[in-house]
Amino acid sequence: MGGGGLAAKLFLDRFSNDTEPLSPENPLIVMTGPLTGTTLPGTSRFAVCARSPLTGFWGVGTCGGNFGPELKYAGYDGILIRGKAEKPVYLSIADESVELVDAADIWGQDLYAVTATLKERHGQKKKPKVLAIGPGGENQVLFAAIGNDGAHFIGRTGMGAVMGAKNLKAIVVTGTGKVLPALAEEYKEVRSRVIDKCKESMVAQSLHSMGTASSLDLGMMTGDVPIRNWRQGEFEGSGKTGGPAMTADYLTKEHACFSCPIACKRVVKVDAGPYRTQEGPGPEYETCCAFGSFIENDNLEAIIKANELCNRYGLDTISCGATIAFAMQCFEKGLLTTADTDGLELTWGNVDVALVLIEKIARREGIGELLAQGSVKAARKIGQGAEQYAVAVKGLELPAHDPRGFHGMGLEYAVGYRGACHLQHMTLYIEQGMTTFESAGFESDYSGQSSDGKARMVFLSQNMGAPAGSACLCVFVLACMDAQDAADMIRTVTGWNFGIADLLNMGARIWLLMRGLTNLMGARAKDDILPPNVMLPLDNGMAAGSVPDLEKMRKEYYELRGIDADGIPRREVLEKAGLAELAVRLDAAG
Amino acid sequence: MAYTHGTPEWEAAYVQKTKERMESQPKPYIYFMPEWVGAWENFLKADPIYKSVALPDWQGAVVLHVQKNPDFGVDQDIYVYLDLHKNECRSIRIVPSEYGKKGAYVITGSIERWMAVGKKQLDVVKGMMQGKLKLKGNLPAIVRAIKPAVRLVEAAAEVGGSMPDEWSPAQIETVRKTIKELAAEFNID
Repeated sequence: MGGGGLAAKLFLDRFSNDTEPLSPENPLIVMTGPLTGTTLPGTSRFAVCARSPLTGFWGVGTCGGNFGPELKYAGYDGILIRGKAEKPVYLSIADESVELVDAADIWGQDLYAVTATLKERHGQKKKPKVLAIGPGGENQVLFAAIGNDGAHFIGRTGMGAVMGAKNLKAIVVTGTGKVLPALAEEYKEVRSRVIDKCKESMVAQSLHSMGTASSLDLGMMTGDVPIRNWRQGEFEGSGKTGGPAMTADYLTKEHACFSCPIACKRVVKVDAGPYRTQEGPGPEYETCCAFGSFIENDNLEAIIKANELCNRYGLDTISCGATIAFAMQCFEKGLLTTADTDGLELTWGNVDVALVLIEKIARREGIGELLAQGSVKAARKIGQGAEQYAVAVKGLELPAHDPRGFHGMGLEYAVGYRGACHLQHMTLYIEQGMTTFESAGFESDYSGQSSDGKARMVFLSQNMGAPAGSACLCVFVLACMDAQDAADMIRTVTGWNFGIADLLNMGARIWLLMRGLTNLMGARAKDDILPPNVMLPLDNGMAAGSVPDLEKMRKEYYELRGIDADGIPRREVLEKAGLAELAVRLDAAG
Repeated sequence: MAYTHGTPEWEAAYVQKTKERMESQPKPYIYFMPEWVGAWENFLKADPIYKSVALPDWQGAVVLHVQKNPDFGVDQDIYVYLDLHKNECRSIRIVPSEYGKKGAYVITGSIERWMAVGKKQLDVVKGMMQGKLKLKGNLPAIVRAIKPAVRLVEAAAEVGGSMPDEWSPAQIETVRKTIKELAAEFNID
């Protein structure tokens, strides 16, 4: 279809799964989908993929904004970058014109600065769209992000480090083409229908009025919000750090991705004080947690500042905040002392220290050199049992949704092909009741703190989310509509005879492909687990006493998905899905 | 004689009617009838949990809008108006639609949906997210007040009551008649 699925197929067909993530041989694949660049709602997205330097498995990061549509307008479905430049360069694309340009003068610039520089330099006729890395990517911080116009970020799995390892500072693109649907008349009707649903949806209204951080206030009511490196259930300051507070005190305007009626992005500014920022992208829900509840900080201005620093340096806010929270717990337990931390007191709530750590991580200075490797690798180096405090699956730090509040999310994290993931499926939205998709076979309601029926829910939600992700459709828009609408969007754009059953079958194939790729890179059943900090019950909060029954859910899920006891999809399942070649590769890998 | 909403006479007559019905009607009360609304009001006024979770700076009425369904004897929409101020429930009244629609926060749903909420089969927040209940009003304010909002609904469930799907044909006719009388006496159109 496109996106991460097509990138996985390209990788499988052309590259070795033993490729070292930061070597020139690891390809960096930027891939749009069939919906990207159409005027359908939520179709701005694209994926950036490679073998992940953070996890060692298949890495996928996705993003909205305007870059994906512009790439399509320039005439490209995707870009595959292999090798390494001898010196820093950036890639300039203007329709048919493609060139690598010396980047000596912009290497070292932060993401906001380099984006502004390149927009100015290449913006004579039309403002270009810019993908770029900051110092974090240049220094190959393993969770480095790629910025998209300095306002949207491909955060997860360290794609910025892969870009940095290629000495590639940026990709600049302008295009003059169009993306036209195959079935123009029906397309108009589908577009109008989906826009109406987005306007009607309270999920959309909530995202529009408060951004993704609106979930924080609601999440505290359901046990969704992780606190104090996932070991605390209550956080009195949470109300100060969510969507309503940001909207009331710091919002300057809303911002929308290309062709999106929701406009969930925030533009914020802290006018004065120690956490003063320029007007810029506001923190998402995940960031509000990563630099708020994860470390017991209730100062929203400091969170906005942390977000700005991560954006400028080009760091994934989730992994960065989670790694700092991990370090704080190590400090609390005496596994790290001021002798290890450059004299910094890594105490809970000490957000000023967190801000210093962001800079040290980006520059790989002092304690930052250790933490730049992410919590799992850092834990291995610290030793002394520090591994038990790293909250990650397959090396990817958990996003801010607690499996004790929502057991299905626990299963989703455990079996995910890229590690603990909140975006490449619909589990989060289904289990929390934001949408139901009953026409795709889901129950009408799921109880969060129950493990019953969750294997099937996760199975279906992956089959639903994978094709939408590969078509490059935003999950927030998807959550506002029905499965039939999603199928109709793909049908009218591609002209394929495409219904809900096709959507789910294609989803299963895409999921198996990416899971198989991660298996080829070494993942087995032993990696389909949850970290100790989330498998211990909490004493307080809305999820107190609740622990997901992972063993039961995983067993049921393996049966449904056709995965063997080693955690590998069975040959006959792969063959039935049209992935015989993958089955051969997996057999050969043993 | 029909009382005019907003006048002291309307208020006094409504309170008197509620008192009489609370004394005369058998329990469990029928959901959304004046006696049930009165019991909910009394419950909330005395509820320490609501007082503890309600926002000290809260302003604005919350209105539950029950859509008509003649199959259950409800021949017109009903607006249940919760006058909430700071951390106090000052009153709950069935009010004319024109007034109810002006509430700061209006949550609209069919009788079946409200029944599901009362039976705890539908979480009110999920219901709004899924479009099964519609919310009109300032979203950031209501999200900030999600704890008290949930408590209001929990309290309604704790008060208990007779659900429409439990009503006999005779009770449905009684509901129809009661609503008609209320409408005539209190100008509840």
